[in-house]
Amino acid sequence: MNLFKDFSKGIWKENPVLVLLLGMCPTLAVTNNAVNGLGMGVATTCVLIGSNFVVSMLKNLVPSKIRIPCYIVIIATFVSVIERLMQAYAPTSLYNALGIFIPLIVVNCIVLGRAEAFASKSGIFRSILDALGMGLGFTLALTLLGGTREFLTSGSLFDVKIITAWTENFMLPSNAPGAFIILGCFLALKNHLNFRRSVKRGEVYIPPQGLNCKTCRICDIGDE
Amino acid sequence: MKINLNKVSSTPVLGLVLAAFCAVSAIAMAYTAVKTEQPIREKKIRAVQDAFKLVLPKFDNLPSENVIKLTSSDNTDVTIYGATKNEKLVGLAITTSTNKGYSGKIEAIVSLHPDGRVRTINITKHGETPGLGSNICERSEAKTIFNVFKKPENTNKLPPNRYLDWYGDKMPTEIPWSVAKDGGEAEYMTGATVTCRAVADIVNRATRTFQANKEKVISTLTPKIEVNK
Repeated sequence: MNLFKDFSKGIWKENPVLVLLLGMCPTLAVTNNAVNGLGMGVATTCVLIGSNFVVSMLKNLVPSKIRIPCYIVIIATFVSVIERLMQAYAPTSLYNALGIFIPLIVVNCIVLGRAEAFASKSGIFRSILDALGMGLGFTLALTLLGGTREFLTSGSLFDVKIITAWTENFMLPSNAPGAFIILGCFLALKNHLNFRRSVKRGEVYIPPQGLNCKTCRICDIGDE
Repeated sequence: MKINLNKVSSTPVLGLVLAAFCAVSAIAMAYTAVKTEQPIREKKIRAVQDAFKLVLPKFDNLPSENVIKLTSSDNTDVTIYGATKNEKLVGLAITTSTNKGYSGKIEAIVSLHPDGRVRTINITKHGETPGLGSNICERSEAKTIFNVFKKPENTNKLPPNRYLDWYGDKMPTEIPWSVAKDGGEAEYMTGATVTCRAVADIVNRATRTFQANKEKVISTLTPKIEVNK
């Protein structure tokens, strides 16, 4: 049960994009269509599994004072090696689709965040489960966001036009402002679903800190 | 005995540990780099061969053997390949690159008619932003829900791209081509001006280098008819 929780928490309860709000740069930058979202998600999952595995294996050899540089070295090595391997052995079309995202993974703080928060304190098996769950949650969120943006832009999904009469592209969702708006709608929806569920169970719903108007200091709406 | 370095705090030891991590990482990367060098090079050569078939008219020689290497006025490598059919030059493929792209080098094949008109352009390598600059560089067929499972009819024809096709069948002029924003006429896309400028730069470099060395190129690439001594 505990092991299953390690895996499943990344998908809904601690989803890296929708709850932890980590890795916003790749989330907003590359998800202008579903294929890119899926590609980025899969590539990140591979690196996440590798880095979680190595970090949890070497956790006794990393002095806590210099753990962050050590993790970055491990992650960057993985990213470089995976990029070279894909360039050499993966089908050209796959490399062309994913290749541009791979160097971006180094700066993705989900990978560093999981190394620091989970893999450095847990066993190898649990770390891999955590990486799988987090990667899957990240991939799902990115694909969903990319699919929504792509559909609202041109009426197509996974590069296949669903509504053939849609010829003129609507540029807002495919650009950065649209990414913020749609991600905001997603966060609101997820909060709403969690809120409904808590009410049904008769509990008091406390939103995650970053999404709670009462703890945010950007505007005064939550102050009463 | 179990080694635990978590509590180490003396600076030289920390430095040594980090150096050890970096050394292992460097070895891993060097090993992969050496092991993948050959396959990556082969893949690139194959990609160039396939690219010739797409941009050139029907030919019966090996363009990768019929080649002349030149340098453009700004010291960039320009390689010109000649395609011949029945001992006659039918087309030229020029591979060159530009550093003016938004992120990194853009490599392209510009194919010319033997008289110097641009035939078509195909970008072989780029790192432009997906969804913005990549729209300029990539040629892809629009799929719809009705033809998603249908096989493409003609795989030897390039899908259209209005930014690249703008140059098609145009004769190079006195003034280099530039995008509309810089006072030229070339098609450009808002938000991807840098990429459009880079494409114009590539086409200009290819055509200009060819014009400057026209006689030499044509005489080198036209098949020599065996003359009896």
